[in-house]
Amino acid sequence: MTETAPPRPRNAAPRKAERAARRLRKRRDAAAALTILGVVLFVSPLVSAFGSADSAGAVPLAVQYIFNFWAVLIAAAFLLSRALPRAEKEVAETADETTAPPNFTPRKPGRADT
Amino acid sequence: MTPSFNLLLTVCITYVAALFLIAYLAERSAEQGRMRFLRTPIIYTLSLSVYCTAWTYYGAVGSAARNGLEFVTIYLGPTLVFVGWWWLLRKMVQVGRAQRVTSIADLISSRYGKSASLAVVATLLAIIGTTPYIALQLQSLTRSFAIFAGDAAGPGGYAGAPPADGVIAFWMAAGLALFTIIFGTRNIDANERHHGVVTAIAVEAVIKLFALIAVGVFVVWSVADGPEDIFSRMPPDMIRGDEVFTARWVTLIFLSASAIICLPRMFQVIVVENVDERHLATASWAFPLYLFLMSLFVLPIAIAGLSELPSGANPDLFVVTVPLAKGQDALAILAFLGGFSAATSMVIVASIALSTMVSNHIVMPLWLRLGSDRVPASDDVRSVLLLSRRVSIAGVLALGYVYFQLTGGGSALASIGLIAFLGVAQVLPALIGGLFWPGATRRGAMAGILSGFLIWAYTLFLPSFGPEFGFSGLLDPQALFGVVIEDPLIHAVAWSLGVNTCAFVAISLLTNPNATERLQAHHYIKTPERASGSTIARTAASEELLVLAQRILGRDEGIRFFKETARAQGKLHGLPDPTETFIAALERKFAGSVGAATANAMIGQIATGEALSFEDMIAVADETAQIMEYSARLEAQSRALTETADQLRDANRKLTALSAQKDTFLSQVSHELRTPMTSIRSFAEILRDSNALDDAARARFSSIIHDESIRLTRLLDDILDLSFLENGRIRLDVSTGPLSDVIDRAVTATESLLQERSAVVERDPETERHVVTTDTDRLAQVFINLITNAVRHSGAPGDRPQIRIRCFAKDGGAHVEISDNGPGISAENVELIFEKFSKLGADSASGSAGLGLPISREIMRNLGGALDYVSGGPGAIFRVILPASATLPQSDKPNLSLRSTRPPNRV
Repeated sequence: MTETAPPRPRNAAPRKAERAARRLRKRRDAAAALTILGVVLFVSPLVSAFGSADSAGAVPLAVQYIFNFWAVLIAAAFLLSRALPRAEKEVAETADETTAPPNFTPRKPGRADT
Repeated sequence: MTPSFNLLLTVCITYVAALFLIAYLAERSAEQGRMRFLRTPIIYTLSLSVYCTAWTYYGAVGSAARNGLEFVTIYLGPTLVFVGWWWLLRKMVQVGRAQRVTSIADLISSRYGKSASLAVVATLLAIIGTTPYIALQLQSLTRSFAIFAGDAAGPGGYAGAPPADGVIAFWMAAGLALFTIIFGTRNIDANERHHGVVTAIAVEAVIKLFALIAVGVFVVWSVADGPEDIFSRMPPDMIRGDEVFTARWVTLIFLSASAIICLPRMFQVIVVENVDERHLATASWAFPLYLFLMSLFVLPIAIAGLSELPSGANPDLFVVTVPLAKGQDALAILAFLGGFSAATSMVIVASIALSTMVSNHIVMPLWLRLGSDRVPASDDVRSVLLLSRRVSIAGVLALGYVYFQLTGGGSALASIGLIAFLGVAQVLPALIGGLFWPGATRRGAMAGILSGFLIWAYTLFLPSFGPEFGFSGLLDPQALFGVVIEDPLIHAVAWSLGVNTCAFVAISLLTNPNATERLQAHHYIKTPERASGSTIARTAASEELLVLAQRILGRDEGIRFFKETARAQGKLHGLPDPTETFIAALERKFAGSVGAATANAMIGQIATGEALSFEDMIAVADETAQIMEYSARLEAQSRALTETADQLRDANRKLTALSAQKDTFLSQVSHELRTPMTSIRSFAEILRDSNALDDAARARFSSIIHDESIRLTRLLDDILDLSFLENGRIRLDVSTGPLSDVIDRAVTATESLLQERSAVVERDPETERHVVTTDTDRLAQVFINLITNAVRHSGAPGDRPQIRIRCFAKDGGAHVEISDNGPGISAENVELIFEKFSKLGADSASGSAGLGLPISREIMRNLGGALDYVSGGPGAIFRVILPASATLPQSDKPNLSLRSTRPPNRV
């Protein structure tokens, strides 16, 4: 009987905690993705891909490539640096509200960055 | 007109004085608690700019002029590390704050079981890696000075010989030492921030950024006509876009990334001087932005230098020489001040970091070992620490100066930046492993660092002094074991870090960590935020701990800490209890001053029980398991006790009820006995006292006395009978006979009563043809009782009592129902009628003592049957149940003769 019954509607606090935990998880994944993106952009043969089209009288494409993506990376890090601690704070707050901690375990970082 | 050397000197001295003033003001406002500004993430980010030394300030332009885009790698590595701050830097800062880490050597030694030897190795590595770097700063300062001096000497604006390089370097080193000693050793707790130093460095960071951007803007929009114009002046081979990505590119990004983590000065500003973990979030984008801005104008300045200046000019000095050649003296001085800032901030922070390491990991352990019999005095450790730190700062700078003098400022220094990067990067495997791999051991870390360090020294550091160092052949430092890698830097990186990591992992796998290592690994990897006290039990006398605290922290600070702890423990007076939590907190506080290894050793001198082996910990765990089992047993026992107590309470309740019943019974018996006794006594008194009685009266009284005596006797017989019946102590006289005979006897016995009330007994002889084997006399007694009761209670005296006796077989036994036409018994009285002495309503007049039914029921019980009241009939119906064992099936021979049988078991 109890198995087939629809799940008991939960109160707002755990759902809020779950949402906050999910948001934090996503932002951590974004932080990892950003690091990987940086590595792919700057520590890969991509940086050499724009060399042959060099033409005198303009800013070389390789220079443009590096500095433009560098700026993009900084902007993304700026957004993330504001979002990550906020999400972490939310998780801590919602965890305080509910007696049961949200179902989430912080993952160990897989690798250090270069 | 070039600025005179004197003007430059004046500017420099003014600038340095301003720095002193800023540092002083920052310290003072910090002391007064106005630290809000000092604690902003912006200050933190700016202090990180010690990464940009004079080597990067001047050298980036030089590198761009020589190798094109390669200079960017030095900035891209740190950018990637900071963008990924969440993974590594955050954990480092958390661990550093929780463990009160004082330096990178301290972090590693503390992680690997507070190993003193590991701390010494890491410290030596840091000194060897940093000293040439300091020399490099002195060199760039001297060279930039020399530009002005040389220029001034040329056109004749400056009279007299310019001071020698050595003199400038010497005074620079002395001035920096003074500044660092004043503002870098104000407190010995490395975790208490050096606000003055940090603020001064932040100011210098702004100045060097501003100077570089100013020169860049000047170059792009004043010398040239916008960015496209400046790039059009670029020599054709300067940037080969398709050749940017090379092994060297990857190696340099990797090296600079590890340098930002491992360089002692970077560790100092990132971890040790960090006041709030959240500042790291801001730095994660602000510091890459700073680096971005620093490198934005490097290429234009390099191009301008290459195109505007004569071909022999040193590209490392383009930042100053380009404005100077264009006649922008003020800009040149600003550019010079930028380089000056870059150099000084690096030297200051590096010497603080190194002096902390040297005093904590080398001087302090030596001092403790040499003077173990020294009489402890208040503040003595503290003063030794302060002195050693000051001497270390001077020593580090002196070392840098000597190095600078020895190498003569030659080209050997130019490449020292990257060489130093690789040197300090040797702690990287042990550091990363320590933070994320629980299996990393002290021996593994030691093997990794030492092997990497030796290979680095042989393949890169020694050859930097000249090609004559090192063997040839298989052990050629530039081609170990015949592995030819063209770039010596890549060769050294691959060999040193490769062997380092392999040794670290292999030895870690082969060895086992000791108890302290396991504990620290747990603190580092699992919960860096909440590093609690160790589980190792230590005890020490609070007095000795106080003496030690006063030696290290200073008299007042030590007493203050002990008072706070005592208050936290809830003690109003006296010293705090030396609990493990307290000792651990004290050790961490000491660690903030002298480093984890030394603090551990000092506590270990007076605390006992520290040296616990893994087996001891297992024993402790066993003990705990035993205690838990014991407590579980106790719990079970207490549960059993509770149950027993409940049972006892129940029994007590029953006993109390029984006792009350007994009391009631006794009082009822007394009451029943009293009534006949009273009448016997009074009639006996009448007979004795009055002589005027006639014979008739005398006879009547005598018969009353006789009747009452009989009644009394009967009552006593009944009570005795009941008592015997209740205890099952009666003797049953078992015989076999037809049931009808028994009923006949009962009816006959009550004949007179029936006659008296003219009662009618209805019987059905057909149903009475059972044969019973039982005590027929007793059974007859039961029937007599029931018939008597039926007669007595059958309604009003006028009615004729009708008594009906019915027998039927059931469940193998026989049931006999005796009913009357009376009013019956109300439901609430049904249970009462079987109680002793219970008389319902008007029964008291019936002359019965109220023992008939109880006795009857007891008899039936003794006969193995039962006596029930059947409710629901028109009158009262009593049912006598004879058990199957006492009943034979209906007999065809009702007149079976009575014969004795073997008495049943109840005798």
